[in-house]
Amino acid sequence: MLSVKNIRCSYGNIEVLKGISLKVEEGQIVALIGANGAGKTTTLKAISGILPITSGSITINNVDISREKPYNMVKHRMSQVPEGRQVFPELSVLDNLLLGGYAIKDKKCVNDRIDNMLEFFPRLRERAKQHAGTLSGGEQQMLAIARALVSDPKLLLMDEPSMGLSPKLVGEVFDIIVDLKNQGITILLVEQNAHMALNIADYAYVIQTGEIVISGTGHDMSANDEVRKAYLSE
Amino acid sequence: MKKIADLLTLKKPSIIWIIILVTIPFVVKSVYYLHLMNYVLILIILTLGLNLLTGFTGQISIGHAGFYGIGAYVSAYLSVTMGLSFWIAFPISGIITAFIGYLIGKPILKLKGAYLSIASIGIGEITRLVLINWTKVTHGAEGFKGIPSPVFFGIAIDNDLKYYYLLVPIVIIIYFLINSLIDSEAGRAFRAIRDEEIAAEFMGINVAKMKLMSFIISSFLAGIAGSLLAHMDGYLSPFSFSFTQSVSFLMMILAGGLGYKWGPIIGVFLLTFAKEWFRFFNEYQLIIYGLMLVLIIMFMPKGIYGSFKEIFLKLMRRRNEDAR
Repeated sequence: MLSVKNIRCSYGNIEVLKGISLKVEEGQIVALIGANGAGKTTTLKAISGILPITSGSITINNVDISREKPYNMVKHRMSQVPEGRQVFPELSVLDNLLLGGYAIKDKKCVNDRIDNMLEFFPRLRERAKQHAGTLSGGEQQMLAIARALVSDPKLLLMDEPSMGLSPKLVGEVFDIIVDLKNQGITILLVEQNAHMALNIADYAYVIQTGEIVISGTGHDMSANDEVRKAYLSE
Repeated sequence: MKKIADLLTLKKPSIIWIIILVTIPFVVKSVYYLHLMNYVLILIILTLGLNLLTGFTGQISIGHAGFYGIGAYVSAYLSVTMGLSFWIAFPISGIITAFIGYLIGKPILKLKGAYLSIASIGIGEITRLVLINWTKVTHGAEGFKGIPSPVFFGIAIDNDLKYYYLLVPIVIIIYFLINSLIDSEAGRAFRAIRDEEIAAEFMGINVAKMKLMSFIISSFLAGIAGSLLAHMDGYLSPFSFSFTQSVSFLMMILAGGLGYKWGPIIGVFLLTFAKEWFRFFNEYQLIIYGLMLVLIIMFMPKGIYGSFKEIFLKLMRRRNEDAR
């Protein structure tokens, strides 16, 4: 579904991605794990077009999106849950969800999807009129996920959904991710919490200083000695 | 068509406000206060636009006196040098200012935060210098004299009372148009850009285009405000479109409540009248005026409207809890 071939990216003179290749098959959860500063978020930024790539190619369902503007990504049925949630704090929960359907012309369809989301996340319905900035961290994460789903994506990019959440909430968020997969949504998950990510991932890549160093199925990776040592602190 | 229908079915409080606006001249007989009121109405048009740009879209401009000046001078040039009627010069001055806003906005809106503010100061200063030095068109430092009053079906709108009734409907129309824009899909996109630019882009919002649109609308409003000023005073001086003017526009929306629909209206009223009332303090006038601004920013960071709204909401919540 998503195929990234040998992409390179730099911030000024410093090359951050030194030829990353990865593949996300339809219906899978693919995890990208690695330490701080390894280039996880940068990879996502490159895929979503926020950061221009210097070489390589990105295709989604065999359509080249290497040079596509970020605001056009929704049209390729790709949606993103940004790092640190990034809800619109001064807007109401409902306005946040409506913005999720900004690029979709059929507003009736958007309203139906929002209804579904409020069904799926009852806490959001309770707080629909509240400013998103007044929600707790977990609720904001739910909102960010719901907002990304309003555009009815086939592919969801998630950047550190467990960041800053209590262990109990992290569990809840991962349950939701598995739920989404069962609904047929393909997910590319970037995580520091390698343990949780490998548990639910069909396939995983380990990124280190801008390069993919190991890859394999989630199960294999959990068993891999190197991964255990470096990322699962065992 | 639905939007026009929305405008016609006004809510009750708006009708009360319109009635108050219309009856003010029957209560306030002083020509001096009526002239100040006209000045306030013109500034409300300008700050409604600036509030859309700065308060709702989050792009700070400290150069709006420049657009105000461009609108005023274009209108003066069209009506004096080219002999066109006010009713033609008025919309054209807005359109030309909006077009200049487009040309300037396209490159400078790529800048963010403080860099954008500094670029906008530069634009304001350039405009002022052009107004002073392009003597052939603007009459330079001696100012633009003899700008005619508008004529409405044979009636010359040549005193403050008549001008007041020319301004009131324009302000009301612009107020409702701006508010319906803010409540629309586009308005939601503006506010999203203000809150989180990158997330807004993920939602499918063309951020560059929306910022430019907000900039163009606000320069259009600054332009027509300038045109109305030119035909009210009949005389323009390039020195009245200075950097201090731009800052005071920004102060007005900050003091009133940045990003609130009523913010600019309250801010313009308060700052314009306060400055006049403080004249009793003679040489201390500006010190006390400055002190007032500092106190507002310190104790009411959300502006007067924003702070009172918050207190009101808190009281309502307490009452609801008590009732429970």
